[in-house]
Amino acid sequence: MIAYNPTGLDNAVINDQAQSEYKKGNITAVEMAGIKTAFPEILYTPNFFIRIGLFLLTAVIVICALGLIMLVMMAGLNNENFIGGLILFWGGCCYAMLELWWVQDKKHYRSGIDDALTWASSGALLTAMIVFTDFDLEGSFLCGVICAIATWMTLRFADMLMALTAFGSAIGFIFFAGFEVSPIAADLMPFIIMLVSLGAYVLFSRLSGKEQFRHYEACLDVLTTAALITLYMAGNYFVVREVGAEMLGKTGPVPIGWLFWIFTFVIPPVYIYFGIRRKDRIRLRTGLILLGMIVFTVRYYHSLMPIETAMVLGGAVLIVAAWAVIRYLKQPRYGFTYEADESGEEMTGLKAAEAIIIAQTFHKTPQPDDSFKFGGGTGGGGGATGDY
Amino acid sequence: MNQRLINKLSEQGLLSPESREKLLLPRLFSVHWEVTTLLYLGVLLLSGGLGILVYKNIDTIGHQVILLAIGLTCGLCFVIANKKKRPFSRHKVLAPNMGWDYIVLLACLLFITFITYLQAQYNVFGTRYGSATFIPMLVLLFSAYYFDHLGVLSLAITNFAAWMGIAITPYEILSNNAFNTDTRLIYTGVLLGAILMTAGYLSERFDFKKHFAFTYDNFGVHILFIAVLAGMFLLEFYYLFFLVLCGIGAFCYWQSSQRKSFYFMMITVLYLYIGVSYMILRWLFYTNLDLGGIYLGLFYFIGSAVAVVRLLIVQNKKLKTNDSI
Repeated sequence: MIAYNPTGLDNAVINDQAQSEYKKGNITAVEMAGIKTAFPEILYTPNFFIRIGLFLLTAVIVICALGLIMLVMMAGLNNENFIGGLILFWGGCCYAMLELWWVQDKKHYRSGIDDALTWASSGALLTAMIVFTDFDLEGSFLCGVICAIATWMTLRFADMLMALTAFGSAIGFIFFAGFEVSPIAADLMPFIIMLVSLGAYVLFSRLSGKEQFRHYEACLDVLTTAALITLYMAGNYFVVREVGAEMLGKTGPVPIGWLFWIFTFVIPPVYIYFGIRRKDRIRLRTGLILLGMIVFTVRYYHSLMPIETAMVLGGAVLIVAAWAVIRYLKQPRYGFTYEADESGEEMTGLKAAEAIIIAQTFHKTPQPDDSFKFGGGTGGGGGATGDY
Repeated sequence: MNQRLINKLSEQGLLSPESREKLLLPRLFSVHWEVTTLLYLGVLLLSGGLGILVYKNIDTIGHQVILLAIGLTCGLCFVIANKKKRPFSRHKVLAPNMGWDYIVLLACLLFITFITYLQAQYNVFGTRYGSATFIPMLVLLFSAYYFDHLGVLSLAITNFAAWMGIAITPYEILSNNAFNTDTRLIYTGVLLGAILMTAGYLSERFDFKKHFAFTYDNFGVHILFIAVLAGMFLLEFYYLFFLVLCGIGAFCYWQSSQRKSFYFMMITVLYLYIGVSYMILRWLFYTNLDLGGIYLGLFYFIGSAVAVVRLLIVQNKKLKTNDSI
């Protein structure tokens, strides 16, 4: 199913992993050289920053070329179907260029050019669909179309963001379809989405690690994380109550609210527990991020203490807890360690990135003309977004 | 490396038995980033919370207690940080442990809170020359070198920029700088960028805390290019700024190929591309070609973007021999 040369993908993974083991000193230079010759680089993957540049430039080319076509065909532009057809045609051109030229012929893989063309052709197809239906789409139909396009693109190009789009629109499809079908389905919506997410989680985590799906490993990781998050969000008291108010006009406390409060509190610790127990990074990290959501949900409905007291206490607790873990794991215990996996070289880059994040989050410092404005006002919502 | 791959490689005779043994050893599960993130959030919440706490209680008796608490915590953090610190060296000094980094950060942040309070309440530094911002900046800069801390260095840089009246953090660099209403900001930006780039250049040239160069340059390059581009877009003698842009671009291009840095290469190429495109579009706009102008513009963008794509691909190949960020 995948568009890229499978041997090339395998070789890229082997080279990557061998490189990282080589940097850690687990394999020798001679072995590394042997691996390099036995599994030569077939696909073209530039550096990450060059990829960003190529992505932007390809986007410029695609948009300007579409503009040029429209300019040439200016006479037909008062007809909506003609515009739709033109966009569809252009999307088709982009897709053909992507498949036949850049992927098959030039062997580009995550070069920025193939990424840009993937998104351009999907976007053009979607826009054409919207134009053809006179901008009058049911939510469920729109989500269905997005899901179909994104699923195809994920299968062909194993793009993580595309996989996420496909999953999100699939959940959206179920959500809107439920509201359109019957009010009973609408009432049961949290449970339906929870069940679907659970099913998706089980499916994706089973597929991940299987040899025939090895090229989709990264996509499956993203999908399992997304499924865990939607599973929690569908049962979260805040989400249930606010979405219910938005969609059905129901205000006030949710019926069987206690059940959703239980979900709100119990699911993240369960994720963390299984994450630690099974040494599963996805569950551990998702659980930690969702702890922030518990705090947010509680604070939204019950103001236990003023925000600054909560921040001071929460901050102190986090620091002490982290300090305790570091002390505890000074010697590795039960297979856990605090030492980073990254090599010294990778750490240098990460530290430089961290410095920028620190400057961004702590930048509110006194200005000469503001007589009294303290920093840290932006820190309140930091709970759920700190994972970098 | 997973089991499957190890078997595959050793079957093909690419792995010696010793390496195979090493690779098959059970791996430890690192919780480094999870714990580090918690620590970081803790520092963020604690320093932010204490700041608001003092501010809200400013007229009550409680605020002096809070202030005392801040002062004591800050002092304690500095004492701990200083005790565990490795001796100073002009080269990179590794942190004794990862938690230590955040103790230093917390100490510096609390110190700023403390200083700001003193300034606001008792006006200890006077109001002249923005000393209320300048003195904390000096403390931050000193701490950055003394403790060898990149995070504190970047705080010092943003504070220095704030003292000059300009914002250089990623989110604010475009949204908070009103170049169009206050054109003096353009010159400030150019000056600041030049100072930071010089600092980066000197760190590397004299091998004094060489690893700080990236942080200096990163802030410097962006503000410099953005200020010069703003000058081109907004001021009358745009061509002068265009010449400056070309000069800076040439310097950055040279520097990035010296350092083999993909990141600076990409940034330089894109900023230069924006500048050149602006000149071309401006020329097209003033020559009044009507529809022909639009055609030419679109052709220009397609052709030039293809050329820049080729340039980036070639540069990627050149730099790839020894890559870093």
